[in-house]
Amino acid sequence: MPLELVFITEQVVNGLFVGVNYLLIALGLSLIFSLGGIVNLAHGGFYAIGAYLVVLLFDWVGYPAFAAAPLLVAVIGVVVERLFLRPFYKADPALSLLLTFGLAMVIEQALRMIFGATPRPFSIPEALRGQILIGDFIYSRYRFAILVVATLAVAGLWLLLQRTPFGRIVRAGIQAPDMVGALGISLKPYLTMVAAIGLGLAGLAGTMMAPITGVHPAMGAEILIPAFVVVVIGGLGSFWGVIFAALLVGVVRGLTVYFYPPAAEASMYLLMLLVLIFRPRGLFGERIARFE
Amino acid sequence: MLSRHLNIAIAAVALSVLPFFMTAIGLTIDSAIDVIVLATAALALNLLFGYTGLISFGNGLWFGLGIYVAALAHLNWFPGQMLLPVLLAILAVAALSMVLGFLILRRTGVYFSLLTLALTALFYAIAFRWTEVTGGENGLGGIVRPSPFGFDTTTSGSYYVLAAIVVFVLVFAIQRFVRSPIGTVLVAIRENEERARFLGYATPTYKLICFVVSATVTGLAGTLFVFHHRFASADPLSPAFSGELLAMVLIGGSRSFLGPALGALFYVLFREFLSQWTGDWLFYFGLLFVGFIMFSPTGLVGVAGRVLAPFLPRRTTTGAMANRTIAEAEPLPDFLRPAGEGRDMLLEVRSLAKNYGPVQAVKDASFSVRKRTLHALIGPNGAGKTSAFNLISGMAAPTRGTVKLGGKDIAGLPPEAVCRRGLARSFQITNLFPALSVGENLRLGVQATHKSRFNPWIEAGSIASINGETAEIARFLGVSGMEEAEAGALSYGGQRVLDMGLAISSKPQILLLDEPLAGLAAAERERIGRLIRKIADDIPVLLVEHDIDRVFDLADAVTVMNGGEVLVDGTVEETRSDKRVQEIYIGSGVAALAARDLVSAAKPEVLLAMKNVDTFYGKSQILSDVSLEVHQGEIVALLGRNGAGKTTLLKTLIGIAPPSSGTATLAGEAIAGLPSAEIARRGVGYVPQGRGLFSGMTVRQNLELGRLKRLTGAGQHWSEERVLEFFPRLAERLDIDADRLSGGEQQMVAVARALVGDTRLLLLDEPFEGLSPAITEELFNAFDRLRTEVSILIVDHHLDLVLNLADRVTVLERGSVVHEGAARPLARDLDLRREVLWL
Amino acid sequence: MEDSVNPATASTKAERYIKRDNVACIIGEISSASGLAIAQVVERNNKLFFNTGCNSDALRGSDCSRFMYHVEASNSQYVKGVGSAFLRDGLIDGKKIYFLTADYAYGQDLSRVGKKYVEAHGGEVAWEDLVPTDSTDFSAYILKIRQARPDLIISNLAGNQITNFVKQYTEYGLDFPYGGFGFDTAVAWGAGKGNFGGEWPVAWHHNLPAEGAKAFVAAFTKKYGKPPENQAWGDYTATKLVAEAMTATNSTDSEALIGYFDDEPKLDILKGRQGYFRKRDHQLIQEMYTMTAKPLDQLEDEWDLMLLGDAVPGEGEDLESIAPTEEENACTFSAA
Repeated sequence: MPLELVFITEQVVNGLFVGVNYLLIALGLSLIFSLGGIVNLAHGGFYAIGAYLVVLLFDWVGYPAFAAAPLLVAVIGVVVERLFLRPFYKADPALSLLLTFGLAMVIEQALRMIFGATPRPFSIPEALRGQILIGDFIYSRYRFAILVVATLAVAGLWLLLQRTPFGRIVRAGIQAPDMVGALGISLKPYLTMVAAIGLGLAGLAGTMMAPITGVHPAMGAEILIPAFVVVVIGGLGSFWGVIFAALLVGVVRGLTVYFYPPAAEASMYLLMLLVLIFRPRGLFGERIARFE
Repeated sequence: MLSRHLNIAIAAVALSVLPFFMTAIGLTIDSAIDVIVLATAALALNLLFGYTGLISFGNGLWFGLGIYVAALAHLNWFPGQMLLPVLLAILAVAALSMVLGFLILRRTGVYFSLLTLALTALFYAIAFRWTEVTGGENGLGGIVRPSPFGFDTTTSGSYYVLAAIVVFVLVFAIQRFVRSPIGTVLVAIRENEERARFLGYATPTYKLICFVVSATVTGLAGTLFVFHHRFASADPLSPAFSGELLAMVLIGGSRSFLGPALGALFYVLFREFLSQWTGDWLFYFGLLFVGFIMFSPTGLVGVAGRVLAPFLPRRTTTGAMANRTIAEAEPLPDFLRPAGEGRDMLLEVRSLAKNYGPVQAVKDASFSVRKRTLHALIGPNGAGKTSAFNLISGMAAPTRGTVKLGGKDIAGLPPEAVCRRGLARSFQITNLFPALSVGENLRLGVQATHKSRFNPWIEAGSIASINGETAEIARFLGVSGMEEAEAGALSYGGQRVLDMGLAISSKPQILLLDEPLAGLAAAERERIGRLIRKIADDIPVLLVEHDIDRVFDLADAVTVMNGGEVLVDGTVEETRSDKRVQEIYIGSGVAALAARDLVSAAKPEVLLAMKNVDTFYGKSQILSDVSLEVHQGEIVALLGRNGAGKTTLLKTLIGIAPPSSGTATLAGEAIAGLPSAEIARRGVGYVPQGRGLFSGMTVRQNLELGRLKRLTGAGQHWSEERVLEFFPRLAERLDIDADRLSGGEQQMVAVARALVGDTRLLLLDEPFEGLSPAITEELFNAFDRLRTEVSILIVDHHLDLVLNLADRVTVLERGSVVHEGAARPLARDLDLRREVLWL
Repeated sequence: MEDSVNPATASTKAERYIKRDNVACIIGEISSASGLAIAQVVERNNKLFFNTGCNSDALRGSDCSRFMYHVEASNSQYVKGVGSAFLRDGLIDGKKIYFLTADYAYGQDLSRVGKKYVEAHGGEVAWEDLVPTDSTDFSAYILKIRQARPDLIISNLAGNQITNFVKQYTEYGLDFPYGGFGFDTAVAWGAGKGNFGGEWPVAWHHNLPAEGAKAFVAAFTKKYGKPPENQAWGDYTATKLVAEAMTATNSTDSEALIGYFDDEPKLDILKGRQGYFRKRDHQLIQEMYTMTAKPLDQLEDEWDLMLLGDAVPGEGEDLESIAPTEEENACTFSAA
């Protein structure tokens, strides 16, 4: 294989891994959107909370912090769902857009107030440092761990949605909420659970990214736009669409860094604008009348 | 809404007082300039947000663009000048907003918001990084304020005067704009864009105009801003600034003309004062923003309104109804009469067809309508009548076929184009601008054909010819004297009349009326029927209507559709005597199944008792004073025409459409008003029209969802095995995707799903719809066997089947029970059936 | 003392302080745009502005103002400060260097100054990637660097991007020497233990042995529970210098203060050597330092990540040798 091709392949593979980082956040967004009809602009805030929690807890409890932080975010998610999201499930989606925009602002400013604007120090735990070398390819061991966890989380979510009664109720609720009610199933607790799972996934992403990116109040805002780009490209509410789009965005970004770095981030906006103009509901999205 | 002079007066006073107010509370005139500049941007944003209903997360883009273009022009080409850079900035913003608006306005709702958000983020990144041109992070300084014609603008005070004059002119202009014909159409788009298009308004053009105006005014505010701070930077392009603009609008009050300006003042005061004692003022601002969305979406103006309400004189609209003048003999106003004479062919529909995926809603419909005739289009539920209407009127493009109006093909044109060519329609489900008054609704209709419909300046309410025609139409419809009433607050009948009136108001060559009489009281049907007849003497009417008798009374020609095809096309006499038509409507009474004698299993104990139930959808009443009983082991058939309220009654029972008054008890326990999940757990199984199966799931998984939460001990226990005894063919298909079953098998799954768990009452909505005879028989037999186990309330239009199956019938008409009695006599005696059912 | 959210707010606030509260001078700012906005306001009102956080050379060159003083070191001082350390280690002469440059004014400025420095000393900037400001993931860049095999990697990044790059560079364990032309102490703290590495310039650090520095660090740590970073030093020093000048001239009048500083008196700036404001562009001429990561076993607390190198310029050299020359960054004060 010519060297150039090796490098490009390396970027493509790395791009796929980068895409996985967006994926967890984008999937949570998509899930909350599908069942509750809420476009959650505050999703990045929960990513940031996850990162801060693991930084705080790691000093205190060590490795279990990596499990505890996302769970705590999910618990916070339950509270937020009850207090803020619940009244907006049946409202105009535009209102929930404004609401979550405000919530995002509150979360970011609260983090700034409590922890200050400068980044919090945090490192990769000892056990996961180091690199994996396969021939000419290099990969970080920690990133590999993220990849495994993220893959497990996505697979787990898929199994939960496809293979358990819980998931079938959620999917049925997405299709026909009234009919689910007429079968004696109240959707309220499921909406709460879905919000907890979706926000918990964002928390998980934040937890895992904390050792390799700066932990600062605006980190949620930084990740939110790429995550939205992924969801919009994939199609609001489409599981496989989001997965495909996350990987696509990761790869396109990687290749742009290789060939023309200044456009690295702009590449995904262009991708999104193209998709929205030519396939308005995303690559895999269905038409959902109430969002138009 | 405050009157226009009051708005302008308030703006003038506020602009004069503001600098003194700001200095009095310890701030500077510079802050006052910030307030009026931001207020202008907020007012401009509200053109999109409050008036048109488009939430832009990216209006900061235009503000920032105005800043940069003005700054760059000032620094590079017109040093020391202000006017030319400002004009250039306005032109640039207008041009770019037109191009971008054209692209992103193709999307609405959430997608529009996300696109604007992405766009401003993209421009922010460009401006921040393109250091050579924009100065990037360093910004652009060195802007000087000139002193044109000896008017010194270098001091804050004098610049305030200049800015205040510009802002005042803008406020005045925006006020003119929102009260102009264009402004009224924008509100119509917010209220009901679909209907606006069917009135003939090219709504995409109006939205683009609004977008460009909003952007340009925002850009102009940006130029005031850049000459105020004498400095340009990328910050206003950041999504955060756009969000703050939205917050100003929302906190001030988006439904009030000057509310957003109040929001801007509030924002600056909040920022200036809070930031003096805490660096976290944005946190508190965010909390406040969230608070307003949750508790007062109408903003400060809304709060003020609520606080002041007890002290202000109450405006009574209830009295408005009493002002109604019923004018029976009004002739059709002259200006509505199409020119010419005779009964030439006007509308020709040829081989019309439409597929929705695999479903053929319309297979092959051909018919034609002549001038000055009343042409009825009738047929049973699902015959394709409304679909045909949608294809003709431009709501959907046909898959095949042509529609010619006066010889020109209109098939596939958008609704506004169809309407402009002279075809107007009303809707089966009332389709108005509910928050506008009756008068405003009608005026919108008349204005759509007026030459001033694109006028951005003239006061819409002061165009004499439009007012005159509006008044005449109101008189003709019999709604004179209630023009001030809110359309959404009208009685159901009033709304139906208004819907029809809207269609006439666009001065059509031909009128399509979709069930204009549905849901009306007898006296009103009589009156509206005559109204339609009168219209049809001048403007041809194509009428979909289920009231067959009235159709036969009124119509000149009749087309009968069934299963997406034209069955009969002829005169009233030909149709009335056609056997096939009779069969469709009242059944033949001779089907093999119907001939069997079935044994009742009804017991005396009452299982379900409904008393005096009223149900509303929004403001339209669907059920009124309905009382009904179902006994243990009894099968009750619920009959009535389309729109009589049968489906709603079932939905009321299961809790999907809760009643507004009345009681319902199941085995003695009250269920009215409970959530549907709770009612279902008390032993009610529901099979909706169209089956409501969950796609992507197998039969077993569908059944599982039925059973999961309904093991409650209420009624008979139905294990999966027991249910499968009734539907043996499902046993072999348990692990097949429900989507892939035949229609009949799907219906069985839906019934099985409703039974499984603990069930004592089954609600069936059109279970025989679209099934083959063999499957129908299988299902019929299953229901017959079920009667010993559960009680059944069934809705179906296959009268031969249900009348033989049922013990008793209840007939609904326009939401009320009009007949109750044994089913058997109706099953056997066709004359009796015609008397009771062929209303 | 003020750091504002955006330039418009900054200028409105500056106007308010000057007009309502009648302040004699304004101290602070980190964003170059806000700095320029404030400079315009003070110039119009004949007041003073002490910039404590904006590095841009434009602010000291084309946009310079008689009424603006720069306590914060200029980009040239940063570049030349750390450059001498690279030069000493033989990483520049005849070497191929990889630039990672934040794609906005600050990074572009550093890159421009840095390139000149590298080329003047026999090195070659063989690769340069412009990094968008919203990039948080550097793995793709790191892979490119690995292929390129440079002799030295230079970061012209800013703020959180330095934190991200340093963390991720450590993650990939590449062993090319690296460092940066721009830096902030807070950023290194944000990287966390074991992640911080490379060679960086710094204008001031809390481990400096100078007498004044020790007292300031002790007082600051007592109040805020953590040692001051360079930003806090800038704000403190500027305030201190203004107070001294007011005492010396017994005046708060801007012209009097400018006159005082224009004599280029030696000023105690909590560093080993005294500094002075250069008359030509009002830049504080001062010594700089380089820093590297402290070996992990010597760390005392989470703030103690850095090993302070020698002062630049070295003993006996002219402090001006690292400041931008007139040709590099010309400043003409507009007529007063």
